[in-house]
Amino acid sequence: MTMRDAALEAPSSDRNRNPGEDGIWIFVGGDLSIFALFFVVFLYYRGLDLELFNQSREALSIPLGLLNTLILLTSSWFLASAIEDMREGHFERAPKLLVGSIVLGLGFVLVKYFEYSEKISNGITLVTNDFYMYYYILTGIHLFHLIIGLGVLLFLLKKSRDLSAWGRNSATLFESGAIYWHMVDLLWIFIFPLLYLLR
Amino acid sequence: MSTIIKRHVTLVWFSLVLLTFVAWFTADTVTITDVDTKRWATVAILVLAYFKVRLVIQHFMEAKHAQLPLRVLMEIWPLATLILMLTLYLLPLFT
Repeated sequence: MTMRDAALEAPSSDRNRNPGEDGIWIFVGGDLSIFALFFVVFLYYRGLDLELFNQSREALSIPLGLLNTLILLTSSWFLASAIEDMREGHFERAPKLLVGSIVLGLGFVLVKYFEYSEKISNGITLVTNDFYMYYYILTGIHLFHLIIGLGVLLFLLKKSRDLSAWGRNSATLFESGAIYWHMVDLLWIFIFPLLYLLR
Repeated sequence: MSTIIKRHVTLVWFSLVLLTFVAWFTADTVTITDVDTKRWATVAILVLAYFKVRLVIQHFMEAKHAQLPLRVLMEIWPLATLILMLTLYLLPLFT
């Protein structure tokens, strides 16, 4: 069987089945629920002290938040394209797209590093006020998820070097990793307006 | 490269980037307008974020191909989160 034949036998995204392992969806569901709770708690306390939250928000850099949004969206696109490549049998291009996805993920970490450094050098820390406590907790937990995601992507990159046995099992593995990475992306899509844009 | 450009996921990515810039322009514009406009602009920004999250869930996470229970759950989460966020954002402004 050629690699192309193997790719065609792999599960297609058009079939009515759950992508990835069922377990990853349970994990994603739990994580999304916890983050929804964080968003609710943040907005509740924001409502109690609008002036402080609005004033503190103005010190955040919208261009850096926007840059990180674009970085994660593009990283997700690279990953989704890599998986499409594998399904279509373009096994030589998929690892390059995965590298692109990882590099962009590292770019997000770098931007966050500059953002945190700038804040800390200006004396703005977790204990400055309630807004910054939520800022550091929300973005910190998200960053932690992203760093785990980078580990997942590195593991997938290693696996993508040899796709000669591509089939249902490997498709499920790659889809599960991708579902996690896209979850990191979608959480940032809500975190960015909540922290940086709310007026 | 041409196969990537023509793909469905590329159109989704382009839409996500476009919506991101629309939200940014909306946020940027409201600095010079009145309080009511700011509020409704913020509502619009949160609704735009909901549509972006939905695009990621349906097309990148491929929930649109999943079985019905998972599809329903993955429609409920972003909508419920949006409703909760809008409620908690708007409530202090009217009380």
